[in-house]
This record gives sequence, C-alpha cells and structure tokens, in this order.
Amino acid sequence: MRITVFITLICLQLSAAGISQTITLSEKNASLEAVFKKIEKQSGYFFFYSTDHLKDAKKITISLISGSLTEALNKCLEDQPLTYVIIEKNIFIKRKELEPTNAHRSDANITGKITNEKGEPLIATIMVKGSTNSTTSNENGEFSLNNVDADATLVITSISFEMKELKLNGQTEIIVKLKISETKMDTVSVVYNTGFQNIPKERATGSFAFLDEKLINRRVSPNFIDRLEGVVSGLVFNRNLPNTTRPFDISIRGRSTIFANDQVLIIVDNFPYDGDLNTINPNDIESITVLKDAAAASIWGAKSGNGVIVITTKKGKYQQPLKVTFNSNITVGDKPDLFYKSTTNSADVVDLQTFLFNKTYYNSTSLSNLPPVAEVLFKLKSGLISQETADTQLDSYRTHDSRNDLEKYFYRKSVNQQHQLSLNGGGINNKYYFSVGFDKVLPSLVKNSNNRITINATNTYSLIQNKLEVTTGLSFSNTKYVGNNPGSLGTPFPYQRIADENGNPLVIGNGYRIGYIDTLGGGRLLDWHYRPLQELESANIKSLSNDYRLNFGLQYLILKGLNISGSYQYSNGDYKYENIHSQETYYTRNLINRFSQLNYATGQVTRPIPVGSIKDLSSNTYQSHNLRAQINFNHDWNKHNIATIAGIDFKDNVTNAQTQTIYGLNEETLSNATINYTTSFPIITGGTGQIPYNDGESRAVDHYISYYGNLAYTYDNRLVVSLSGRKDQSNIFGVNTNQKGVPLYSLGTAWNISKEKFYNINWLSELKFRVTGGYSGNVDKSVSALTTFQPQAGTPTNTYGTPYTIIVNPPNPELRWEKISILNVALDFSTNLKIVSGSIEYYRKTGKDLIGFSPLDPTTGLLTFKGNNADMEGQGIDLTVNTKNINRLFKWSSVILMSYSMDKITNYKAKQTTVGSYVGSGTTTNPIEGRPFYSILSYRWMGLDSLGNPQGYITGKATTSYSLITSSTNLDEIVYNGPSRPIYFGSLRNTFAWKQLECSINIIYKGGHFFRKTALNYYDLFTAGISTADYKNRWQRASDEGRTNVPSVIYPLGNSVRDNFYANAEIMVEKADHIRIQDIQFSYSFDKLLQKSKLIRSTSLYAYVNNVGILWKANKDNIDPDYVTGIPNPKTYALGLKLSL
Amino acid sequence: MKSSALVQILVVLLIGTNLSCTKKFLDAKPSSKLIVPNSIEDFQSLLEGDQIMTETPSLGELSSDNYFLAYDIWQIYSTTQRNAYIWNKEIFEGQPSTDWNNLYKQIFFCNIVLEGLERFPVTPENETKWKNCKGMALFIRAYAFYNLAQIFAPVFDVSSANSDLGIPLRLTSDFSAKTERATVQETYDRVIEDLNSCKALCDAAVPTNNMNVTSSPAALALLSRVYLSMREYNKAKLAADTCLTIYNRLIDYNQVSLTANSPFPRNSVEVLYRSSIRDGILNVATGALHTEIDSVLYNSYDSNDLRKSIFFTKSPTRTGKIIMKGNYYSGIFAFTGLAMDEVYLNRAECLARLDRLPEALNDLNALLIKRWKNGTFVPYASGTYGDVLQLVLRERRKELIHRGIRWSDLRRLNKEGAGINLKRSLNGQIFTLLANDLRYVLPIPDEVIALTGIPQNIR
Repeated sequence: MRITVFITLICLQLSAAGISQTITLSEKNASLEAVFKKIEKQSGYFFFYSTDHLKDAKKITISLISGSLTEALNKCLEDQPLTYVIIEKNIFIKRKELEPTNAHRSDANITGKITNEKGEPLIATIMVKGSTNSTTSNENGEFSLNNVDADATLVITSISFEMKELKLNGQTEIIVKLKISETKMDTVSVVYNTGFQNIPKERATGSFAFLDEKLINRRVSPNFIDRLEGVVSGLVFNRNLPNTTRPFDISIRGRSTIFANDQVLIIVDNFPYDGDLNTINPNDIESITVLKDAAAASIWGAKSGNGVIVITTKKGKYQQPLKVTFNSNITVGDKPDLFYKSTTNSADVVDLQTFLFNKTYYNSTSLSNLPPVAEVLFKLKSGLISQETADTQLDSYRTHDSRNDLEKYFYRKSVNQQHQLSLNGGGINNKYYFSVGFDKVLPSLVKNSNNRITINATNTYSLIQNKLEVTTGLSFSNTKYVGNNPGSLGTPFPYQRIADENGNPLVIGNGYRIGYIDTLGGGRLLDWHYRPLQELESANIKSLSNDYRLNFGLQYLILKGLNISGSYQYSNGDYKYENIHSQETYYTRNLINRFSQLNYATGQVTRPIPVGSIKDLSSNTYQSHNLRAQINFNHDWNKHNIATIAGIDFKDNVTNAQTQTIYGLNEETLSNATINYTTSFPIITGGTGQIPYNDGESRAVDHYISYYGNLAYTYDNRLVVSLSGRKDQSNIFGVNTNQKGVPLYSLGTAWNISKEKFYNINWLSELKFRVTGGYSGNVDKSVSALTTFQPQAGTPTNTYGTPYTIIVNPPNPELRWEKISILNVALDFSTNLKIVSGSIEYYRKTGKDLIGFSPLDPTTGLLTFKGNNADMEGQGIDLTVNTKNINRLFKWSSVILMSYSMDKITNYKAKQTTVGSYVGSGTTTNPIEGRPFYSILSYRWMGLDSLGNPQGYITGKATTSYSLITSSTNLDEIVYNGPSRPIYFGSLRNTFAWKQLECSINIIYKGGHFFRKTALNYYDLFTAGISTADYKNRWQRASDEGRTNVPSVIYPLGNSVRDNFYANAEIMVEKADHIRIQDIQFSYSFDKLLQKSKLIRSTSLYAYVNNVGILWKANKDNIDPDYVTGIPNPKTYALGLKLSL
Repeated sequence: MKSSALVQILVVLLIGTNLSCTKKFLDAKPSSKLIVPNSIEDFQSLLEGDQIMTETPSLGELSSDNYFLAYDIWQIYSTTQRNAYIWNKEIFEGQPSTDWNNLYKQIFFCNIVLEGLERFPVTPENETKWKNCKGMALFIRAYAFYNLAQIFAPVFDVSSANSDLGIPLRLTSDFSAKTERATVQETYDRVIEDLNSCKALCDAAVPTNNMNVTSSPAALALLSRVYLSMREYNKAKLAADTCLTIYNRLIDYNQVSLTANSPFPRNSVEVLYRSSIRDGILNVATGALHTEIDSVLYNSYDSNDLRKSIFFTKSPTRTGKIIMKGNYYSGIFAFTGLAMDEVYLNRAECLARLDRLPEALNDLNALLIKRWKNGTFVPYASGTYGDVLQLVLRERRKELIHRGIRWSDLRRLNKEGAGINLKRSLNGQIFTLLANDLRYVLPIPDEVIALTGIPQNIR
C-alpha cells in the first residue's frame, strides 16, 4: 500500500484544466496568465510557456462568446510579442521570431490549403516535424511556411479532426484534407469492452448492453451487482432461492444448463474475477459491458454459456490535470416488516394447544420442551396453581406476539455510509487513478456490521515515443463482517416473551424441558437455560476478508495499426470466518453439559469437553495467476477496416479451504484443550456420541490454457462481418478430452442499411440489421473424463481404521464441454435527433451435450450416469427503446426495457419414479422433458370432503389416500402450473430534468410466472405452534367445504402426508406477475452556481429511495412474489454529495 | 527489424506452449479430494471400503427357514422384504433390487481395479502388493458372482449347467458393454478360475487385524463352499483339506462370554474373511427384536452346548420368543463371511458323502469339542453312512445359523433329495415352498429386464 501512495504522489502533476470545446471570455486588463488559465479550464488544452516570455506581455481586454480556441488565442496574442503552436492538446507559447535565426539547406517556402473532407476550409496548425517552425491556416484554410526542408514532414492538427502527417518529398504546394475524428463525432459514443478488445458500437455485430458511469452510479449501494437490476435488458435477478448462501443469483436470457454452473462469468479488468464480488467498490467502475450472444461472448469460450459481464475500472487520462473527486453518501433503511408473513395468531395457538392438552397430546413426563400453555395446564391440573392464575397466564399469552420482541430487541433502522476519494489525471507520458473507499454498513440486525476499505491505484506510462505503454495496477480490499445477530429467536412459541418489562433476558425452552435440565445435574452442571436476548450479547461471530489484485500490462506498437500486448494479473484473497462460542453461549454450555458425566454418589463431574470457549474457524483462500499474450491489428485503407486480435491465455487458480474447531479455549491465554474425538462418550440425556470433529482441509486447482481470436471486417461503415473462435483446455476433463475439444466459435454480420444509397426513409435516420450465430460453452466441475476416487465423506476409514475410497466418477472418455448454440437477430434503429432509438433482438439458444443424469442398467455397477446426455432450448426477445419525450428547458426521456425469455428441457433421460418427486415450488427441480427447467407442478385439487379432508385425484376419482397420490407414477395425474421464473420482465425508467435538477424513476415488472404460497401445516402448528393465518379459515363444521379450502384440524395428526399433499396442491399456486417502483433518484448539480469558483470543478447533491413498493400484483394475498419465503427488502433512503476539485 | 523479432518471439510463445509443459500444466489434479488413481495403494483403497465391498445379498437368507416374523411386524417391512418372506411370485414389483445393484457395484469396483492394475508393470518392489491387490479384487468379484448365482440362477446341475441361464458376468468397467446372461456352467467356471488365481496370488497368512484382506486360505474356504454348492464333493473336500493344512484355528467357546450381546471380537481367530448381510430384518440391532428363531431348532441345542447361550437370547419385548444376538461380525449385521467352522463342516460333509465316516466324525468332533462346555462333550465314535451324514448336516444347521449359507444348502440338499418343504403362516394364511420349487430361483429385477432385455427367470 505504501508503494501505491508513493507511485501516486509521483504522478500528481499540478496544473489546471477544463473540458468544454468553445471558449467564452470576458476580461478587462487581465494578465495573460490568468486568461490562459481560463482557456485551459474551458478547452481542456494545456499551455506550455516560459514565465520569461510572459514578462513582456501586455495586459489584455477581451470579449469573446462561444469562440473557437484559435479565435481566442489569436485575440489574446494580438499585439503581443508572442505566438503559439497547438500540438494535439498542448498549446505552446513562444516568442514571435522576427527573423530566421539559422538558414536551412535547400529550404523551400511551402504554401497550401487545409480543408475538411468536403473541401471546406479549416483553421489548422501546421508544424514542421522536429522543429519549432509552425503556422496557422487562415479562414480560407490557406497557409504558408518559410524555410522548410524539402524532405520535412508536416504535422497538421485541428480541433475535432484527426491529426495528419504529410511528407513533403519536395512538394511546395499542398492541399490537405482532414478527416473528422471518429471519437469526437458523437460525444456519447459507446465502446464495448469484451475483455479482450474495445469494439465501437457502430462496428459491433453481437448483442451487448452497455452501462456508463452515470447509469452505474444512479443507484446507491455497496456492491455493483445490485446496480445492474432493471437497467440491462435480458438480465433478471432471481428471487425466492432455496439456497441463500449465494449473495446474488442472476440470469442473462434465461437458463441454458441443468446441473453445471448457471451464473454469469464476471470479468474485471480483462480477467475473470476469482474473488468475492462484494470486495469491488462500484465507485471505481468506469463502465460495464454485458455480453449476451455468441458473437459477443464466445471469445470467453467454455465459461461464457451464461453470459459475461465485463467490468472496466477507472483509469486516468493523459494530459488531464489532477482531478480530485469526493463522493459520500448515507443510506437509512426502515426496519424489515416482520409482520409481512401471515402467521397463526397467538390466541389461536393458545386455544389449539389447550385443545391438544385436553386430548392428552402432551406427556407430563416428557423430557423435551413443552409449550408454556401445556406447562400452565399441567400445573393447574396438579393443583399447583388456581384456575384464575392459569387464566391470567393464558390470557397474557393470547395477546402477545413474539415478533414484537424480535422487532424491538433484534432489529433497528439500517444505516449505511459510503465514502470515496479519488485522484486522477495525467501528463503527456503518464496517467493515473488512485482511490480510497470506505463503506460502513450497519444493517437492520442489531449487533451486526460490515466495514469495507478499498484502495485502487493504476498507472499508465507511455514510453519510447508513445510506442510502448506500460500499465501497473493494484487493488486492495479489506472487509470485516460481524454477524452476531441471527435474526431469529431459536424455537420459541409465537406467544413467548424474550424479555421482561425491564428488558431483562427471559428463559425459553430449547430442546429439553426446563424442569428436566434444572434437575438433571443436581446443580452440578453448567447453567443450561436458553435466553435468546443474552445470546445476542454473548455471540462473537465475525468474518474477515482481504483481496489483492496486481496487474501489469505492456502494449507495444510495432507498426501503425499493429501492436502486441502482454498482461499479467496476480490475485490473492483470503476469507476467514471465526465463531467464538464463549462460555456464556448456549451452544457451549449445552455441548459441555451433554457430554458431562456425573457421578451421582460423589457428585463429581467429568467433562470430556472442558469448560471454556469453543471456537469454530474456517478459511478459504485463493491465489490466481493470469497471463495473456495478444496480437492486435487494426488497419484502415480506403473504405475498408480490419480489426483483429489473436492470443493465448493461461490461468492457474488454486483455492484452499480449511476448517477447525478448538475446544476449551481460554480467550486470554489462548490455551486450549486436547480432545478425545475417537471415544464414544455417554450423553447425559441418553445415548452415546462422539465429540464433534470438524477439522479438515481441501484444495482445488484449476488450470486453463485457451487460444482465441477475433476478426472483424468493416466496409465503408456499412457492412461488418465478424468471426471469433476459442479453444479451451483445462485440467478438469483430462488431456484426452482437451485434445478432442471442438473450438467454440461464432460468426456475425451487421448491415447499416441507413447508410446505403437507396435508403430513403427520412424520419428513420439510422437502421442497422445484425445477425450472429455460434457457440458458447459451460463447465461442470463435478464430472471428469478420468476415473476418480474420493475418500468417503464422514467415514474416511473402514472398520479396521484403513483409509478407503469410493468411485465418484466412472471413466467417461466421451466427456466434453457443454455447448450452447445461440442465434441472435437484431435491428437497431433511431429516428432523427434520436427522439426514438433502440434495438430489438430475437435469440434462440440450444443447449447441446448438457450434463445430466441418465439411468443405467444396474448390472454395470452404476445406477445413473452423469454425462453429456441432456438438451434444452430457449428463446426470447429483448427490446430496448430510448425516447426523448420533451427536450426543451424541461427534459423528459424514457428508457423502456422489455424481455421475453422461455426455456424448455428437450431431452432428459432420468425419470423419477413417483409424482411426489416432481411437485413443489419450482425452486429445485427434477427436469421433465417439454417443460421449463424451473417448473411448478402440483397435485390436482378435488376440494375438501365432508369432514374437511383435502382430496386429491387418482385413477379418475377424488381420494384422500395421500400415500397413493404421492407415490403414483402417472405424471398425467399432476398439474403443470407454469414456470417459477419470469418469462416477461423489464423496466421503464423515466428521467426528468429541469435546469440543474434531475429525477429518474425506475419501474420494474416481471410476469408470466407462478409461485407456491406457504400452506397451513398442521404438523408445524402442533409441534412448533407456528403456521399460517389460514388457520382462521379452516374447515370447522359440516358444509364448510363449500366456503373454504383450508383443511380441518384432525386428531391424532398421524404423519405429515396430508399436510404435504395440501401444500403441494394446485390451489396453493398463484400468478406471480407484478409491477414495482424499484427506486427514485434525484440529483442537483451546483455546477452553474460554482462556475466562478476556482477551486471546485463540479458538485452535485443526490438523493435516492430504493425498494419503493409494489404498484400492482396479480395475487390477492398481499404477497410480494419476489419474497414468497422471506421478508421484502425494506425501503431505504440515501442522501449523497459528489464533489470534484 | 526489431518489430519482426518481437512477432517471432510471440509466435514461438504461442506455438511453444503446445509442447510438453502444457501437458503437465493440464494434468494437474483438480481437487485434493479427488484421487485419479495412479498407484497400487489407490486401487487397494477402493477395495478397502468394507461397507460397499463386503456386503452379501439378503434375499436368500430372507427366504430361508432360520427365522419367523409375526404378522404385524411383517407388515412394517418393504415390498421386497415382505415378498421374499412369503416366496411370492413377484418380488420387486418395479422397485430396484439392492442385492443386484450392490453386488454389481462391487464387481464394477473390482473391474476398475483389475483394469488399472494391468497398466502397472510388476517390479520386484511392488510385486507383493500388486499380487495381493489383484488377488483381493478377483476374490471379491468371484464372491459376488457366486452370491448372485445363489439367488438369481438355478442350482448347479451337471446335466443342464451348459444350458441353464446363469448371471451376467461383467468383466469390464465399460458400461457400454452389453449385459447378457452366461450359462450356469460359465458362471461357476468363472468363479472357480478367479478363486484359483486368487489362491495363487494372495498371501498364505490369515490377517489378524484387517479381516477384509484376502488370503489364500480364504480363497480355499470359498472354493470349498462353491464346490459344495455344485455338489462336487471331491473338489470341495480337496479345497477344505488344503485350507486346513495352512490354517485350522477354532475358537474355544468356553472362553467366550455367555451373556454379552456381542460376544465375539470382529477379528476372531476363526474368521478368514469378514462379510455381512445389511438387511434390516436380519440385523442384530432392530431385526433381532423382530425375528424369532424356530423353537424346534432352538431346542435341538443340548443344554451343555455353549452355542445355545452365545448365539441366542430371550426377546426383551415379546415374551417366550427366542432371538439372535451377536455373531462373528461383532456389530449390528449378520456375519456371512468365511470362518474355519464352516471349512470343518464342509470337509466333514464331503467325507461323510464319500463314505469316509471316521474321518468325517473326526472333523465334527474337532469342532464340537470347542463348542460344548468343557468336559461335557462325548466325541462321536461311529455310525452308519446315513446317520453320520444326517449328524453332520444337523450340526451344520446348528453351527451356521444366520450365516447366509442356509439358502444355498436348501437348494442343493433338495437337489440331493432331502425333500425339505418350507412353510410360513401369516395372519392365518399358510405359505409353502416345496423342495425344488421354481421359486428357489428369484426373479431378475424388473428394471434390469427392461433396460437390457435379458431373459427373466420362470417362477
């Protein structure tokens, strides 16, 4: 880090500058120096002069409105003994040379004219290369230069035009046509970064989405992934996931694999990112390019099947004076709405438990925890308390809801702070970017926090006459996460209190009955009570992560248009999780007590797990080397352009994982106990058990070698043909398979119809047709071409203590990459003045050779086979429309994104034996041919019978034989409801601007999908006292079956098959279509007000409201379809300031 | 021309990487948890998984007459278990067969090992390991083939063995190879050939700790069991002879606890190779509480016969019922491995059938003296041919109870004309299995028939 600061300090070259293209000056008796500073600020050009020269200069009075730079300079230097030369963005001031100081050999006087491509005159600077001799053309484009060597080269520059070099070869009269500089034609020109090369939008054939800095920064959040939501067409955030360990889950254009990796490949600064994405500070991101089709993504080969997101971080700019930017914001969030979930109310639970008590459901000799209602009733029954006391107690239960306690003691308003300071700029031969970011998150869970520090530094040097460019980069991130609050109370009944009136922790039952654990050890065991509120105080759970990235790049210009580049990245990250279960935690006390052996005669306690803290540790580290060598060739001749790259990529990624548990830890001396893990000890509550042993270590190595190339040919900016290919080899599949590997490739073409001569639709000024086809790939690391063994998990040694292994991978020499063929057809359009512009794309994906299971003849020794034997397909449409609805002082523009995406399994061999394996919520799945991967299937619903029992359907009849229904093998007896992932989705973002104020509102919609409601579950209600509020609507008396679908209470309950049938019946499925206001952003720029300030370059104030709320939803149950299982993200309000100096 | 030199370097770099270092780079092991086998130890580790590799089938024992189930208890078991108990025509009813699947899994593992070992040149350093590993793989495969044949193929009959359908003999790990049924003759030929190879490859020393490791006495003991099931008494006797000359130790039951639930250590001196049935009905923990022993059989043990107390106990849950307890497995499962008592009994039976009665009685006495309370056993001196044979068979039944041997014995003894008819009663309904019934051959699992089209057994 010290090195970085040092490097950065070297780079800071102080000067001043600005950005605009025209010059407005109004000065009276100003010093020339002061006027130059103003010009610098407005033009972005730099002055170079000796102070000696300015000593002789007169004060000037000047008035110029929106003049050109040369106009301004000419006016300033009128009557001064000075003149100027502009070379690229530098203005050199020098003395007027009154007479030539030295005469040249064979010198000539050159005259000429400078024009644009249409022959219109241009004011330009003409300079003799390698000398100080220069001049400027007049308004007619004419110029003359004296004393020029006949073999000299002239360098002609003009604002907004490409620089031209011209060798005289003895000519004395020349006419020079300058070409308009491409990059200057459209200031918002979009350049896609594929991670290998930059492709101007005009020359792209593939399907890309581009997010510029402004769009990335529209949203306020600690990580960049959030910022993609609702702004990229075809990209959807998947909710209601069964597995919450993944921080996010996104799909680009639906799903294209069954069991292999289904997540997008993320590229940061040209290399796949191996670390934790949360370590990337979004404020350091310059742009994001999303690669969606084969032409865009196939260059990433075997990992590109799910789409690719390319992140480009900020770099400095050559010849830009130091720019200091400070961005700071604070976000406050509401407490989550714990009452969102429908829950059986406490009074109903108390009544039900009383009913169960009367049915002798509870056993007075039970050793496991009983509900407090039962304890009260037992006391009443045995005469320990009066009827009156019991009633008072029960009534207090009836009116209490433990969620109030949870909200009061476990939750708070979240407060997130984000601060970032960045410095960037550059000189002629060097550019730099340096940033420090600090994020402090205090989430809505009390006692939890998350702090992140990020540091980024990049330097680029241009050497050997700009032929060699050297880039160095360093990124560092440190995150500390404290997670002491689990956000739940363990297993209380819904009416239990966790604190008394004074906020003191109360005991609640947890596993064992309180009376039992109180007497079991005769007072010789450790306190065995569970107090949720105390747990919150005692917990000490934290994780720390560090992530480093070092980049080194070289680019050498061999010939004009041909360069070679080499880049290397080293990254290293470690993640440590530490949970110190102190002696005060229930976890530790419980474990020690369970293993304690009590000699009842002597009262002596033996503790195989000694008193002390128990520390769980786990760590994950990764180290990755990436090396790339690439040739780039870009050549223009006449109307042709060829842009091509070819290269080779090496990747070596090693990950290590380690887990360890330390018992009997003394946190002060750090001493710990030796533990006997092998003996089976008696458990004091019955049975025997071994002390949990979690120590272990594992390592994974990924090696890749990839060869790739891309060729694009453009004719007259009208027709583009592109071709790309890649071959991947890795250590995952074994060498033989690599050798057989077919390269993944793509072909594409784009035709700019509006540039054709015959094109005559005047109102539609731009029309471009694109079509691409090709293959991307995917990897399933769980399979291998080689026979592989693995030590049996859990029991690595046999009865005799000898290590043994099992076969995890049968030999599969036919194994290959999953291949996804993608066809993309697109039309880009724009009306005059871009009032309406956008694109429509149709795609069709076919996943071939997908890894799936197929049944095998068990005689082979294997029951199923995992290999390339499944296929699926998908298709969809992505529409993007940008409109400028009002474009006056008040501006209103809209961005409409609409996507349709549908996938279908077309070939899947393994069939489940019973329909019960197919019904569910559509979040985990057993694939069925002809259905989307994520499908919701249900038992047919035949209403309640006359006793309130739910009825299903089997062999044409209504039935309550639930086991027969669930174990049926006839798929026709269940119902397909639809996909569980949206088929239609998109957003509408309206931006309003008036003067310096801007406001944008993003509305997101999803539709065409379904979700399964949580059903009333009597098993849960009987055992835990918690289920849904539907209990109120249950069948209670004859003929209720006409009124309700909620089954009756039955006693005894029997097994859970009735609940299971009801939960998976078709009536529990609802349409998930909904529209929500995702967020609203306001910003106000103070730039106009601060125009006169010398210090501040720009300032803006912004406010942001996220998770605003649902506008419309198809279901009538007050369920947010994105949060069927969890609680919706609360509203957050952010306020921020961005300041540039 | 500096630039073209750079291009050349790059080209060399691009092409150069195709050479050997690339191969090494791509050969790296992807995960520390995965073992791409490349040593004899790796293959040996595959054979050491006793949970997988030492399981023997349950269907035969489930169908045998060592135990009975009460109707209410019978009802709680699976379709396959219930059907096997009553010798139903249908056994699997579409469900997979764990016996078939698990045994062919062992065979698959063995084939992987045998194929892998072929790639390792034998050197003086690794020769012993290599031989033992190969011998063990051959042994496990032969044992699995033999066990499958006891259930899914007819009894060996020299007159029809060349036409009777045996079991599929999978000798390759390639799962694209077609599954076909060999003849009974081919099945037994394969088992005998592999055991003879094993006998030559493995150490003669019986392991003292790791009872999964195979030795040549274990191969011989199994060979004698195989020949006996083929009713090849000369060859069975010969195998037993050779085995007994190498190893002949028996446990003295006077040294064994009469009350312990698990009276034997898992590596007792009598055991040559440890295997087990892992079926819920037949295990000692839950199953023993459910299965009751035939009272006639129980009463046939003399009160001085220590086996009566060591093998059996009174049911703690159902009064008056006798249940099994611990055996040579020393765990919750029923022992089905190879032990010396069986070898003595095999030879005794062969000698009796070959009319070498004094020698037969010698072997029997040698065993029984270790089974009776010290000083109470009176050695058998002489008897007629029929008496001695019946005596040997009776003692065989009493010694080898719940050892997975009875089903094979029933099949061959009935073939010899013993005429043993089995009978079971459930809820008043009587089920019978007459001697030599077609149902002595169980059906091949339905899914195997569906996926391979091999012929089904007629029942």
